[in-house]
Amino acid sequence: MSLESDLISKKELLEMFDISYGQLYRWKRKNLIPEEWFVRKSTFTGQETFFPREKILARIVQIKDMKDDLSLDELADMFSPNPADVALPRSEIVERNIVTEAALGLYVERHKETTIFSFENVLYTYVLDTLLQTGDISLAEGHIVLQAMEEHYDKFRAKSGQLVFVRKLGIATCLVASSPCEVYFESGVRVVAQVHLPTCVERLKMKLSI
Amino acid sequence: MDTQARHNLVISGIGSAAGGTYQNLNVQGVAKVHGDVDCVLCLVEGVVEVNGNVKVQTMHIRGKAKIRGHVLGEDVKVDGELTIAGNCEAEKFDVAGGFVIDGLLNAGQISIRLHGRAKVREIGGEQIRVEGGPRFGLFKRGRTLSVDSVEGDDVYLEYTKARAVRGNKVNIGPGCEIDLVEYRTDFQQAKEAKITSSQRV
Repeated sequence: MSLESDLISKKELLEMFDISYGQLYRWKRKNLIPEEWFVRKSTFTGQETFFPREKILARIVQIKDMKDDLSLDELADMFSPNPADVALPRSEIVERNIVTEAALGLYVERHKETTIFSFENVLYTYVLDTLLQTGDISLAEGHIVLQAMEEHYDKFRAKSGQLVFVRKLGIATCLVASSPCEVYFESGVRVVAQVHLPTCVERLKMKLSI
Repeated sequence: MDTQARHNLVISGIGSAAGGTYQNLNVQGVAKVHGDVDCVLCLVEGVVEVNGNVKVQTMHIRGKAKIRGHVLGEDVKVDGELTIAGNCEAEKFDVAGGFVIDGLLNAGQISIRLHGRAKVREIGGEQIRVEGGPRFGLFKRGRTLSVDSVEGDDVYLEYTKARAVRGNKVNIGPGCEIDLVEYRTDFQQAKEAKITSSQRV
C-alpha cells in the first residue's frame, strides 16, 4: 500500500524533468520503465497515472544521464536482470509479489530446504502461478507442473519450449515440448493449457527488474 | 535465448495451429492459433484468432485479427478489424478500419483511419493521427474513436470522443468531443469540435 506522498503524478514528472509524453511512452516501450510502476488512480479529473516517487525519480535521472551514451536497447539491458545473478530470498519473493503465496507455498512444500531462489526456481514457480491464476489447474495438480519443469526445463534453455497440461477422465498430466511442435491427442484428452516458456521468461525478467 | 532456426507457419484455407516461435506466420483464410506467438513476419489475408500474446516485428492484416492477449510489435498494419484483449505496443501502428483494444495503445507513430467503431482505453505516443473515414449518411454514426485519454507529442484528432487530450502540439478536428485539452506549444481546433476546456501547461 503506498501513501499519496509516495507517488508522483505523470504530469508532475514530465514537468519536473522537461520530458514529453512521446519520450515517456517510448521509454516504456523500450522497457526502461517497468509496467508495474504505472499506477492508475481515480482523481477529480478522472483516471490518472502515478509512479512510485523514489523509484521513478532515480530511474529518470539514470536515463537522462546515460541516454546520450547508450542506445535505448543497451539501457534496457542494464535495467533488466541477468538470470545468472538472480538470488532471491523467499521473503523478497513474497514482498515483491513475484508469484502468489499459493504457488510459492507449493514450491516450498516440495523443497523445504530452498531458502534462496535462483532464476530457475522462480521461473518454475512462475509457470505454476500462471496456470493457477487462470484457474486452469488446481493446487493439487500443481506438483506435476513443478516436477516436469524441474526435470525437463534444462533441455529448453537455448531453444523455445512449452508446457502442455492435459486432462483425461479427471486425471491430469503435463509434458514439456519444443515450441512449436505438432502433437495430437486421442479424443478423450482435453488440452487444458499450453504455456509458452520464452514468454514466461521474458515476463519474469520484467517483474524482476523492478 | 532461441538459437534454433525458426520455421514458417502457413495456414491456407481453414486451420488451426499451436502457438510458438516462428519465422513467418502466413494466413490465407481462417486460422486459429492456440498459445503465445513469437514471429518475425505475420501476414494475414482473412481472419486470424490468437489465444495468447503476440510478439512480432511486422504484422500486416487484411481482414480481421482477434488477439486474446497483448501485442508487441515494431510495425503493425491493419486493413479491417483488430481486437486486442490487452495492450498494444509498436513503433508504427497503422489501422484503416475499426479496432478495440482493452488496454493501452502505446506506439511511436499512430495513424488511424476510421471506417468503423474504434475503442481503446488510452493512447500514448509521439505522432498521433486519427482521421474519420468517408461519411455517407447512414454510416456517420459509429465511426468514432472512444478513448479515455490521448497523450503524445504531435496530436491530430478527428471524430474522437475523449476525456483528456494532452501533448506538445494538439489539433482537434471535426467530429470531436473532448472534455479537457492540455497543450505545451500549439493548439488548434476546428469550429465544429466540442471542447469543454483547454489550457496551456
